[in-house]
Amino acid sequence: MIVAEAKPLAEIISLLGSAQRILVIGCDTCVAECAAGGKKEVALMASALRIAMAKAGREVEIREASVDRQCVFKFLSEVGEEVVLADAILSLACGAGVQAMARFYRESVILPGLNTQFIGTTVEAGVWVEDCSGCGDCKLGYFAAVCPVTRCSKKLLNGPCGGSRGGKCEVSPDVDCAWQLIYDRLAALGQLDRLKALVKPNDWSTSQSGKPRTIIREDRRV
Amino acid sequence: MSRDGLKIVIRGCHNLAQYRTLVREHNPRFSGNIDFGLLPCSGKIEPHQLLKFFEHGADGTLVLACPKGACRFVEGNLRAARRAAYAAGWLEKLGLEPERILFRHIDPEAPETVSDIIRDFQETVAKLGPTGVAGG
Repeated sequence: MIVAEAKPLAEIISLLGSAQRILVIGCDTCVAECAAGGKKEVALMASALRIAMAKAGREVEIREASVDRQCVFKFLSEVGEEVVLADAILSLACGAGVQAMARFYRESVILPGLNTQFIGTTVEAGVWVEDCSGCGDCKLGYFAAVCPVTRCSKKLLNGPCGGSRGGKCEVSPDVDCAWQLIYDRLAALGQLDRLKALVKPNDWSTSQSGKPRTIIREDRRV
Repeated sequence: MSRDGLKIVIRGCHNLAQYRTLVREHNPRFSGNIDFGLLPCSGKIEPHQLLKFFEHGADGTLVLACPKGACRFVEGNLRAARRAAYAAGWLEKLGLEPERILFRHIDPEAPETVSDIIRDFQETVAKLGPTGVAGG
């Protein structure tokens, strides 16, 4: 899922400026799972903004809505009536959701309420960790489904580096050494032989380091 | 400020016999504006609900939960404690005192009764005064 967290309230209020009619809109997929932009977080943010505006002596109408996925146009059409009534839309979606809103509702002011962080996993209740960098050249098959591009601080494809201590990364004792995890999992699977193969460098042109990426599936376009 | 002019919202687990009795008797011993409510478990309370109380004029909110280790839903009271703390953090972001949200585990054996806790909380909120939120 895409993992995000709320922007500071002061920044959101500053972004909203003098808007009189605000729509707070959530996304019930990734950011609902990471408790940043689902229906509950929309209700919380809307309440917080109403309290902040009331304390400031401002009369502002704040409405709430959410859609299944803000990054898919067909879901965005469901909230058209709410959107056109608002001076400003505060989107509690990931960066893609915010931009999808802006693409779909070209005449509306669309503002982000979240800081999008990473592609991650819910490892326990209330804890989300980064697991994927979306590099476009997935090597998980070589590394027992532990991604060194994302989870090794040095992004080593032929590690480890030698700085690992007690299974932790030398960069921070809070970070597991990805190469220790890779070794342990391969050992448990009886596949340590895989480590004898040299893995070729990633093709970074397929990553965010290249141009903005587009995927086209002709069979899905009609 | 007098406690009579302030609004307190109380939500507590219905498995707390002392609190349940108090709510059902609409206990007249409390002065002031108190909105009592029973929850099937304190773990049903959510941060957005706590903030909503303040939006609608509450000056203080008290959440009452079963003792640690005694929740019928195992960890509902622990969740409630963390959610109350999270909502109190939002009050702080809004320039309001986090003490306006109080979470308490209620030990039926303790000398301090639910009524004592409510009165103490009323005093705390009276010292803080109104929130300044419209309707508050």
